[in-house]
Amino acid sequence: MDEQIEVGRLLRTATTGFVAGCRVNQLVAPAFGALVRAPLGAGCHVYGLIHDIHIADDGLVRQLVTAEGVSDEVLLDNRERRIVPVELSVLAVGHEQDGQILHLLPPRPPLSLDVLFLCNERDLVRFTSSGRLGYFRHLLRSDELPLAELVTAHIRMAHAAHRDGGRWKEQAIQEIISLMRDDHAGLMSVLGALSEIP
Amino acid sequence: MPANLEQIYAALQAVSKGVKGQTAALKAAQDSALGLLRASAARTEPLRAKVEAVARGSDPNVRCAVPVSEQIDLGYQSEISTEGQTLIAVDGSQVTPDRHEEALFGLINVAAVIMRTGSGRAPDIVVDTTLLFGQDLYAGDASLMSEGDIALLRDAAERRILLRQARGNHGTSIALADGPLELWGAKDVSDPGAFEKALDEYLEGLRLMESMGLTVAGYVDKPGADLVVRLLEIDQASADELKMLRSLHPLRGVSDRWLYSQILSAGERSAIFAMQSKSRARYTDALAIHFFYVNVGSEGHAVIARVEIPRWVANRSASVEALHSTLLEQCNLLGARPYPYILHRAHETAKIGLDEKEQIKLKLLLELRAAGVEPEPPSGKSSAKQVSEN
Repeated sequence: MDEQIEVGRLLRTATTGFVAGCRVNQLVAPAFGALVRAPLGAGCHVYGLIHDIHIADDGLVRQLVTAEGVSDEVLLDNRERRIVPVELSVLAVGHEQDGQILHLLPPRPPLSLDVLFLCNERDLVRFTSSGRLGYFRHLLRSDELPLAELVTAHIRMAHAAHRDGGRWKEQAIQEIISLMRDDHAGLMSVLGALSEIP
Repeated sequence: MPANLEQIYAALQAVSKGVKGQTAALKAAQDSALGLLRASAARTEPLRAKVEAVARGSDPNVRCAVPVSEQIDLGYQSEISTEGQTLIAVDGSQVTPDRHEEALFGLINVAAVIMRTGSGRAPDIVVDTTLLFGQDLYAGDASLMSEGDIALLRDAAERRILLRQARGNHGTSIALADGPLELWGAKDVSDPGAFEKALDEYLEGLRLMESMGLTVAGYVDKPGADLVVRLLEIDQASADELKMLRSLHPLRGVSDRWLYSQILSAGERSAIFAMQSKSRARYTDALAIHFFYVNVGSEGHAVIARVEIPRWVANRSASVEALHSTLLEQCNLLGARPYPYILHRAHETAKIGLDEKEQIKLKLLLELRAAGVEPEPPSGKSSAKQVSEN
């Protein structure tokens, strides 16, 4: 956890997930499917996957979209200076207690205004190789997630971080097949998306 | 308890019955005003002479427009490019102390937005917040500051931040404030000395901005004044009628906004007028307040604003043209509800919302408690209000 990339602060939290707000110019770092973590205090962190990035509009933005000839200064003003609400929705997938990673929901949610950090490759490898990919069940329990896309985005990032010739990726896909064996249509959708990973 | 709907219903019926007659009377007054404007348009010199005579004689406080040199029934265009301008807009908001709350405090929040057109860079934003607490909250006569007192402090702070930013941003060409250029509120201030002090400081600031060659303007959105209409009324008045000018309003109900919505095509400005008012004695020489109307709307949908400028700006046609073009471009950004974008941003930045006020109050209460001061409870009236609002 040597590299600390702050991607926002928490707005609303629960044990199953949380929503963070960030500035538009912080939006370069977080990506759909990325692993993030928030502190819980006393050596504890909650880990989650970004499953939605939402940029809300407001009255001024609605007026500007209909205007002709909006200059760069006005665009940058809205993106960098105004409080344009960018919300990152995160699904909790595990936590760390005293240096041990558990693919279980955290004992309590983080607090509002806590900082949300983007995990670096080392964190990602550490989290995904701990245990036996038990955190996949958190992804599968919700009907509202874009499951195929989220699983694929996450596996693609983790595969790139592992640099093990695809061993982890194969293991992850086998686990997904095993967990979704009773949901043929869902599984086909996930496998279809996974086939996009080079 | 809700409003008495029976009474409202009766009043609405009366409005509905009366409105037809009023509309006809207003239409007649509007037609008359437009005819008078067109008939007097070429008589710039006699119009000016008549207002001067009234201001010197029967009513020195008369408030009306005074033609300068341009024909008053024409629209004027500007084609000048707005690239390469540095614009500064300022606005402010305030929290007035409320003795019913646990903590007695006030706030002045002013913001400046500095935008360099054509630079491709995000504007700079500067915010100055002043917490008023303890002795700061009392006016010169030892009474708790009124809304007018706080508004005067806010106005003075707005002018100060404008001057400071104009001095710190070399090459600033246009400085915009929301509302009239005149400092208002003399009658709402508990301590007349405080108003005089703020006015002196403001006039000194204006002189400095003149020396910097800055184009200073106050933008009055949806103006309600009848300055030009009053000029027409004065022009028509006989010598006897002029003695009772305050009660003479043959064109009552006609606004300058309506008048120029009939004259100005989209994007055009009116002639520049000088302002005759009580404050003319204070805003002298290069600082004398002038104004023009501008149609920032589109074809068939006139939206008339008044733009106040000091004489040093009115005398430089290049500055007036640059200001005119800039205002059109800024208003165009907000589409069907035109208003200068940069002024809206200054307003948005300066505004202290209720949530923010509550947070500041909570932090103040925490600080007071940490310092061993137990704040007074809110008044029963305030608590009861909160209960009924929730």
